[in-house]
Amino acid sequence: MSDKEDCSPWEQQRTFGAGVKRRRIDFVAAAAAPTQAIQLARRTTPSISPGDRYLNIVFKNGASTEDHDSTSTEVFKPGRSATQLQPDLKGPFCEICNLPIDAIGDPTSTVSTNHESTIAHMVCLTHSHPPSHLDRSRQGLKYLSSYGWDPDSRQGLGATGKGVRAPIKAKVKNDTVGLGAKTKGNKKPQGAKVERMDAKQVRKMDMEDRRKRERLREMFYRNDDVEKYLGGG
Amino acid sequence: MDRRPDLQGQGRFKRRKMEDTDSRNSAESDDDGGVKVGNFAQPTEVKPKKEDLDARPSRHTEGIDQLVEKTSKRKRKKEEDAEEASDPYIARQHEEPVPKKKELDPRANPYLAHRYEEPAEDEGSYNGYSNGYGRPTNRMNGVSNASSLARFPRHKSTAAMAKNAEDGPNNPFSGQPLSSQYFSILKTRRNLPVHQQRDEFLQMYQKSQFLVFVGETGSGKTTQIPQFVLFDDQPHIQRKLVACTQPRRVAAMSVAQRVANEMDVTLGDEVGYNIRFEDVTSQKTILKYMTDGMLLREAMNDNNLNRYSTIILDEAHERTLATDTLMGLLKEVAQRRPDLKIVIMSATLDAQKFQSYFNDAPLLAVPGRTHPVEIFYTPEPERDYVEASLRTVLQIHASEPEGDILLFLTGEEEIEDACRKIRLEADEMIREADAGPLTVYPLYGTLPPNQQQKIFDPAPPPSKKGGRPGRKCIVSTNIAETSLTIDGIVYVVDPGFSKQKIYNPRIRVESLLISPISRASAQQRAGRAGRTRPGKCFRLYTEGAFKKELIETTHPEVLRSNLSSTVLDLKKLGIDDLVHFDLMDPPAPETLMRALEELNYLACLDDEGNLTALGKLASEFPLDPTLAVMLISSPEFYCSNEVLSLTALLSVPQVFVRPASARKRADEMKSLFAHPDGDHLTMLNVYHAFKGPEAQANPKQWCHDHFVSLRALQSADNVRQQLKRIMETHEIELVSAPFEDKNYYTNIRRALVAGFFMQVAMKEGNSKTYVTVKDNQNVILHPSTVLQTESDWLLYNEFVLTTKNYIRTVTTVKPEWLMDIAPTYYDITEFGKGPVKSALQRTIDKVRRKEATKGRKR
Ligand SMILES: Nc1ncnc2c1ncn2[C@@H]1O[C@H](COP(=O)(O)OP(=O)(O)O)[C@@H](O)[C@H]1O
Ligand SMILES: [Mg+2]
Ligand SMILES: [Zn+2]
Repeated sequence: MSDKEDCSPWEQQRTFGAGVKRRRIDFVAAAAAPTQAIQLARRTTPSISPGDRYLNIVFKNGASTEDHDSTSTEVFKPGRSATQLQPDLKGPFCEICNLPIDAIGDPTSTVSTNHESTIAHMVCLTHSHPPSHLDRSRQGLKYLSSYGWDPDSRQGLGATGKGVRAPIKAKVKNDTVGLGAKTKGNKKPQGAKVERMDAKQVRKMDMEDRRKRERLREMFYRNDDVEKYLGGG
Repeated sequence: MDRRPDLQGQGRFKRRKMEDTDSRNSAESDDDGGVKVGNFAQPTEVKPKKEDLDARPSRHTEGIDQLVEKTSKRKRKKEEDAEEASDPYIARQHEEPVPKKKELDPRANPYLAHRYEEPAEDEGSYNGYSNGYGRPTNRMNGVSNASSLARFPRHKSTAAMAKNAEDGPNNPFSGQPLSSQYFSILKTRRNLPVHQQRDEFLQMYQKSQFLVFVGETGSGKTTQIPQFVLFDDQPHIQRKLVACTQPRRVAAMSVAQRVANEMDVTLGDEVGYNIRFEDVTSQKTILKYMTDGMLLREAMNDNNLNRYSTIILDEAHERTLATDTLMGLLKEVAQRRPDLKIVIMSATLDAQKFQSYFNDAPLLAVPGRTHPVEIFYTPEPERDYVEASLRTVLQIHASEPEGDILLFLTGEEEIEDACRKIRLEADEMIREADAGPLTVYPLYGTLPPNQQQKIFDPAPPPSKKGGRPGRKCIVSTNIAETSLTIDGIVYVVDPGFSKQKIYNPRIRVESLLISPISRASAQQRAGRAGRTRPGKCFRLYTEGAFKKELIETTHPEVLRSNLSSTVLDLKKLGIDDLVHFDLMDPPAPETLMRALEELNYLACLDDEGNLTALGKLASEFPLDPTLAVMLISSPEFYCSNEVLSLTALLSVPQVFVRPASARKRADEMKSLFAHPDGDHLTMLNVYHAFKGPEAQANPKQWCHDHFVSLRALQSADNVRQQLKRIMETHEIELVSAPFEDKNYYTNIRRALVAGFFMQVAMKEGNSKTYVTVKDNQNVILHPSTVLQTESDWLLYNEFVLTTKNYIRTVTTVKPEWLMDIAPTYYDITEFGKGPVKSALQRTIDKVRRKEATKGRKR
């Protein structure tokens, strides 16, 4: 298997035995209507903000999500609908989650802090995201920044910033196992198999581990930005 | 089923044209000839003439004509002389100088035009024929049917007018009488779905600058729409061309040949093609099929694409890197050139994406005329898709009614292997079970054109009278998914995989990996079965897998590629704001950053990201920036001839052949050429031997004996030729050190470093593993290497991603070269602590010590 891609000429290769016809390949008709019908539907399900999902659970009659802008997943428009559903509730409303602050108990001095610790409120807070992992000293980043791209903005490239944010990951396949079949590698035998290693291998693994740790440490503690972020210095 | 009479591409090349015109000539004399005037019947047309089109002389284009004449004279002088000397035809023309009807008028020969400088009296043809270089060739008062084209109001014509012109009897573009083959093809063409909507197309085309055109594969987009455009756009009046881009070289060649046949012209005349390293066009060309990459190259030197009046981007759904870049570019060009028309053609249903991208351009969809396709799945996943696909093919052959088979596999080797096995098995079936004959054809991108054309051959007849019908089976990469339409396919076998490029910017590795296709691809594949009658598609996976394991649409190439070449192109195109450049699917920031950094290290971009002189020069080469930079710097190392050969060798498929049955022998042969310092030099040795007298005496035999690929070496030769021309244009010296020079090979290795310094690996301790510099990937040597020397530092051409990471095609280098030739990349302060840094430090120390001792000695 090691040099799979090499040996080109087929002419003299081992012939394919007469076994081909022995095992029949069975087929079943498609469950769907036979032809061209399968449309490539575009995804239309509007995304629901976590805040709404939560409210949907809390208020059984279901806070509607209709006034949600389905394209933005980052900006939460907290449960206005909840207010509509509970018109009889009085008292001050929280500016962040739009829920009545005195929903729970008396309006004592501790109420507001209580409110802030409710899940409904917290879920509506805009998250502060950790800065991007990109190394700030990179030449390429300098170029992109000079044209207005901010690595921490959680935006992609393009006219509207809608480009993908991370590269696509590769999956290596170097066998002829059919689509959907579990490769042998995936079917790990249950119960960890004990692997025997000689001292050299153990040493090597140890080395590798150490190197990995070192690299991680470097990444975290040698990077000004991360340090700044962590320690405010 | 329509079987075309003349598909053998070579059929209509020049030599053959003689016979054609002769026979036409005699046919012509039978005619009463009343309507046709002009001397189109001259038997001598090496190049068809346009004079018949000069139906209504008018004066207003006179100025242009003269201008054209002058420029064309200058530009063509050289070519003409060469042409004249070698072309027996033209020689004959001199002997018969009397311009009588049906006789030669040398004036009519565009190649001799410069001899007749005085402006003809009846000048100023409305229809002066040229595309920017040519001149109106003859001012005879042609009043033939061709005048129907001449009377065409540009951008106001109708389908009826075009139909009239197409009906002949003379070719509306070349003025030649039309052949009977033409009329027979015309009949089948008019049955294509797009012809029903010709008027609708024309109206939308005329009204709007952008048009999105969607139609099922096989509806006639690629072959017909450019012709529709020709009649309405009349590029020859504008001295412009119509371009139609194709993502694949094969498609560009094959389709151009087909359309040349359809238009009854010689390939390379009115209809031509242009792919990397191959340009089959002339001054007469008005319709050019080209790879999208070639159009992009042209845009770099002609930022407004002024040569073109209409640009058709075909197969846009393939979303290749070049097509995507062109789309972004054309959005900008369109604003600067309101006269330019742009048609985007796509085969998928996902047309709205194109439409909205092009600011809600009008969309025309041709309803497909395909037959229903019944889809089958396997009840269980298959253990081996290749074997299962072979079985399925044979099963179809054994038990399904007449109809051809199309099997999709992933790559050249897999395909050739499958073809061989199917042939073997089918022979056995014929012998033992009286099955019908089965011809098997491979189809993939690097197949030579004459073999590609074979796939259009009809299926074999029954082996005996009344026997079972024959069948053909085409085993193809996803090239047959949409780019080429093969009629007669009734059964499709789809294992669900294709080879796809993928790029990881973090370790800077681009690789071709076998990956599951998308649902959209699967649908396209199935659709191939319904071209001529109801068909069947056998999917070698379960219905569940179809729904769960396949993604909706394939990721566009721009998200899967190393972008350094593209960024260089864009910079050359004057696009600096890469952040907001309006690509349909912008790449990941990291990928773009990598590209910018690579170009900076290669000194193609300066630290501010501006294009450098080297960068400009590098962009002139149709090569990866790495290779281009290596080639450009090679004279500094006194080996540009050798590096040129190497560059060519690295741009073609594998040179060495290693059949499984003769591995030992092949390896022995390879070791004949082996150079101790690595694979690059070994390849060079092969090339030098190949160019030697012994090999050239019988190249085919020699290649066979030495287990090298003739095809690869020949195309390397061709590539070398093309690159050499570019080098000469830019005055890059071609030099060599004498072979006896002890630094002969060292020079070459150093020159390699000038391009490939970012692809270097260092040995890890005493093990067999290496680690790539800066990216820290553990790699081992590919088993194919000839490398014998123990070397701590290796430069590699390719990183092969499998379960083990291999580096392939390697050459030994020295760390002091790295620091000397690529000081910025090997700036030791830029390296993190580790073995590479310490090794580099040791080298610095060593060099210093040496210099110190030298100094002391002095
Ligand atoms: N090289 C060829 N040889 C024979 N027929 C061809 C060739 N190329 C195209 N055709 C015919 O022309 C028709 C239209 O093909 P094409 O214009 O490529 O369709 P589309 O671009 O819409 O997929 C095909 O169905 C086929 O019949
Ligand atoms: Mg097409
Ligand atoms: Zn709140």
